[in-house]
Amino acid sequence: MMQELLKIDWLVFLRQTLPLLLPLGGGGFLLLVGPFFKRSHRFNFIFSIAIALLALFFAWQEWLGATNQTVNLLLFDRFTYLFAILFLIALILTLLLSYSYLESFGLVRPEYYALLLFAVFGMMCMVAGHDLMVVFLGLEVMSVSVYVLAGFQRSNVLSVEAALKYFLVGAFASSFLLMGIAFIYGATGTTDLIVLHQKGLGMLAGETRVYALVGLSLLAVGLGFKIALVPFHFWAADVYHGAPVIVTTFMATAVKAAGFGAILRVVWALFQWEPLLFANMIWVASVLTMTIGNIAALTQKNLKRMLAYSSIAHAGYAILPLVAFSKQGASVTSSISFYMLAYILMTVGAFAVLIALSEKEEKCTIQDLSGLGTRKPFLAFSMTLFLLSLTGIPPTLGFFGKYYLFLQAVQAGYIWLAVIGVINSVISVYYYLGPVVAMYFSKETADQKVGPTYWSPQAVLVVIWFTFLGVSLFGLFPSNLLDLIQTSVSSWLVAGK
Amino acid sequence: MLRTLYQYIAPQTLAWLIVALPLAGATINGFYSLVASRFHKHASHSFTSLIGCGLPVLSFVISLLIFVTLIGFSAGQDPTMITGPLFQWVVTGNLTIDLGLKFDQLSLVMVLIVTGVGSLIHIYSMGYMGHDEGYARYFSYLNLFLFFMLLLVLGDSLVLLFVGWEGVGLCSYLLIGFWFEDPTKAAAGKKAFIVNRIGDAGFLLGMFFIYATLSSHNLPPTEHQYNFFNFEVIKHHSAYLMPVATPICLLLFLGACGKSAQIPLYVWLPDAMAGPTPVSALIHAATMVTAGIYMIARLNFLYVLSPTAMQVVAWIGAITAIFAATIGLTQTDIKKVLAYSTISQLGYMFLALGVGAFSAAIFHLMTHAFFKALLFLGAGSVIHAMGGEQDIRNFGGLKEKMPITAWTFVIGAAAISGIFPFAGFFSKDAILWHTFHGGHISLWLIGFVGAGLTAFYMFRLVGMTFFGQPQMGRGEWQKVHESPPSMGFVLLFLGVLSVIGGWVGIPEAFGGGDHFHHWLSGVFGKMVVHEGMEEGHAAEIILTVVSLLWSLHFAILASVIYAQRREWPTKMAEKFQFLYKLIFNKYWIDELYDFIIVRPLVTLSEKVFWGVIDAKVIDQYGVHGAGRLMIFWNRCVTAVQTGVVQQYLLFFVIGVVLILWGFVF
Repeated sequence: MMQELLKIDWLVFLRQTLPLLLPLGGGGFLLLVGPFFKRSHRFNFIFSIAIALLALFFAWQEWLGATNQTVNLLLFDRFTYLFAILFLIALILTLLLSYSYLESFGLVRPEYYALLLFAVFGMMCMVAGHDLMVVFLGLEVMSVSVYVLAGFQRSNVLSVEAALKYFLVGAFASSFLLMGIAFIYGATGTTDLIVLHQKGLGMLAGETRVYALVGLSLLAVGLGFKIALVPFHFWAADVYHGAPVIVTTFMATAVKAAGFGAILRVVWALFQWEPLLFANMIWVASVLTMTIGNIAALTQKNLKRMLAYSSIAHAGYAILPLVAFSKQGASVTSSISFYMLAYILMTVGAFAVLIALSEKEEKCTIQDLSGLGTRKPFLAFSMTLFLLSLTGIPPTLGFFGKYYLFLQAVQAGYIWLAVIGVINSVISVYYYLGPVVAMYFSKETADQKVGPTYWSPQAVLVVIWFTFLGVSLFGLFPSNLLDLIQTSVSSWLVAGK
Repeated sequence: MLRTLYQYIAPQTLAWLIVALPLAGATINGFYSLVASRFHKHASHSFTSLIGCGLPVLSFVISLLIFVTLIGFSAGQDPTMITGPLFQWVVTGNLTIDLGLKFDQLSLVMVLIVTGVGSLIHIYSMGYMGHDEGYARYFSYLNLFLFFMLLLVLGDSLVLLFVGWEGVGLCSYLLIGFWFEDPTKAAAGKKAFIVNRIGDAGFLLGMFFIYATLSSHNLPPTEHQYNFFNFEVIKHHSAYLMPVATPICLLLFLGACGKSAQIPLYVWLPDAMAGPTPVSALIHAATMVTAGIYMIARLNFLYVLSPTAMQVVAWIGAITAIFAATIGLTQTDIKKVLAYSTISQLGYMFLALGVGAFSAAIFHLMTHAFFKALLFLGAGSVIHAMGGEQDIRNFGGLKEKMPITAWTFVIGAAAISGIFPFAGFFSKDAILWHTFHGGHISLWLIGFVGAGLTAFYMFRLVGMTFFGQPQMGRGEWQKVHESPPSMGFVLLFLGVLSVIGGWVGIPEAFGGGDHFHHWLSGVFGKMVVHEGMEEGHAAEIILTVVSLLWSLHFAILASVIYAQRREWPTKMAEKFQFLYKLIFNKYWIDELYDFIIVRPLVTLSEKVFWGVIDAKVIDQYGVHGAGRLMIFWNRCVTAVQTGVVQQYLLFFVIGVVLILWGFVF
């Protein structure tokens, strides 16, 4: 043991783990030092942004020079750093959205920033871990942070309720996850994903096979809960609705992406146990999730709740290509990763517009948007772009994201599955265009006219511009982005196989 | 200066600017007019004019630079240039479309006409539209038109040509309906758009036909293997298209009929005169309507494969030429007369294309752009001076008040009538001579008669407008004034071009060098144009002199009658009442179309398609039915979402059980 530890080049290891260590250390620092700087909200904000940017820089450096090394249960390949970059982008965007929101809602507390940083550390562990236990630990670090964040607005009953529900259901789901890992360990004697992948089903026979499959199912339940697959989705609507909208933004984007990152790692290791059965389970879950998500979203009047259901539906779209994993693992993985990026940009954008409108109270109903096209043309236009992108209408990033997803299914012969996906997109047009209609075709109410109209904090506008440009430019020229992601994926999947 | 320029900018890069500058102008002025109207301010005229006219002029200068560069190539080389693809627009497994520009003799001629005449008309518009509310919007549309037109003539593939083709159609629609507050003008815009759609359907089918044919053969694997719409590729593989050349050419010709206003799709062009007069000059006379001619000339290698299609093109052209000329005899709206003359002249160009004289067609296209722009702008000047009056029966004697307009208009009329030595003489003579020489005697006869009619109605116009006694009240007569210098300058400039524009193509029979034909022979091949020309010089001279005298005598006749003996035509009209009414009412073609096509379609769609199928079946059961179904499901799904955690966990456990059951058993 000691000798093994000595063999590691610690300097290299430090460099490789910097993107993980920075959020962890930064969060710890904020908690320790925070009380002394309690008044200085600005310091906390700038410090967290600096930490995130620094981590982003190192993650990018490591991405450029990644070597597929596995060190002590952690796997440092480009895929890890790609997802680290995704999390950090989502983190930075959330931070930018949070500053003015916290001020105007009286929620200024340093723990907020520390919790966000811890959550991002957990997410990175989920993707970097090549051992199921590390994945689990990362998931718990992330979850616990997010439970607290969801209830951050203690004065609001809905927020507290959201935290409690999230915690109860989440704890329930985690127990299944842990149980699943235990079963797998019992059946195979290992929790190492690489070993599991290399040995495959070969080491299973007789009764152990049943244990392994039970483990696999329970694992799927635990991870499916995180990305709100049907029937583990009920919490999502209540939690997204109740949590402060900045936290909802973070949950809908970063947390979901982390779930998918972990799922891709696990699927790679375990799908071969029962490829056909696995594919069947996936398509059933995918169809159910997207259909129920879309149908439930149809009549929502509150955009937070509507986007919650829409995020359920998007999870359904995103797992759809997994049916083809056994045939074209690399391209399936890159299409899902691409979609996560697209989804982060357009969802953050849509929430950012809502935040830009919420000065003293959250303005998230469709009625709050009416007449926005004349009041604030840019906000209305960018909101329209984000909603069209979520619908999947070209030439936006959302279109290409969805296109690559469905393309995988079509190439693997699941044409009917892609058709169901497209029909679902058509259903979603109805509720995505509802706000657009309100913005451009309904008259503003009397108090909207009177009220302060030009309140838009700079940082929020920066986020809207960033996501706006991302969604439109990458929508026009998606190939570079896709190349980047394919490179990240191929270093893992080719090397692994 | 050229050398320093080339040090920094390659011609290929410069070439993109020709197209990009008008687009930039359109964007800037478009945004400017939007912003100005949002803040309820008037757009600044000087800024709009600077952008709106400056960029097209710059674009013209660049075109000249490229022209000079390309003719500077050493002897033996064709003056052609293809810019590398700007980017690949469509890349799929079996079709690639690149965005590239193609400069050869043909497109150079077109680019110079479009940017040159276009710039002049932009400058003229500064005066003409000076009092209009939508000044910035107008220039934005006009620049956008220029952009699409340049894309049309410069695009190196059929797809780009089509993009430009549709784009100019859009701009034409927007500009015809520029004063959209007036419902008849808005309706004229719609008519143009819809009639063009019929032609475009043919065009698209032709394109699909080419794609289907070429993609069904295994072309040799090169980098251009899947560039099926690229002109070079089509030309290179035109042998594959041989068996289906006739349908392809006819379908494409249908598109040309729509855009270039030929029988049976010409009906939109007279109505299109509802737009501002400079627009009529630029779009509906000089450039856009010639797109069909350009397209067939560009695809000449396809058309020569199908003698049948060539015959059809020639006959449609000839019949349109004489048909529109007869209508022109009786019209009383100054712009309508010019509109029918445009249709007629376009007919001549198609006649030339149909008999294989591609370069003669392009030659006539060029001179026509000069003199028809001149005529329209002169008409605009008259309308401007008369405060919007367009009926020539109320004009008369205007040469006293507006000499520049009057004399440049006479030059234009002489040019279109084919009178020596004006531009139209050489180009029209080339067409008639090639028709005659090619053995198409009956076509030649039609063209010959049409030329006489042209001279007659043009000088009728001149006589009634500028000569004789004024036909208006005293007060109005005193208000008539010559147009501002920005308009007069353009008229003079185009007047000069209408005189000398034809001299680049003086045929060898008259001791000229026939430079224009030689210049274009790189595109059209030598044999089509010049086969056995040398022996026929004597015949050519005789024919030319005959047709000159023929036109001249009609011109004199008309100007004498309409300037001095105005009662004669009225008497004639009374004598041949039926014939007069037939022609005056444009052969009732509009009414015929309305009766045969429009009304049955409208009735059918209102009664059956809308009343029964759409409102009853689709709306009731399809659309609303699907909606109701979704809402029902939505109720079911949201009913489960009670907010009670225990219930969520119950569903959770059910899910777990189902998954376990699915995986393990």
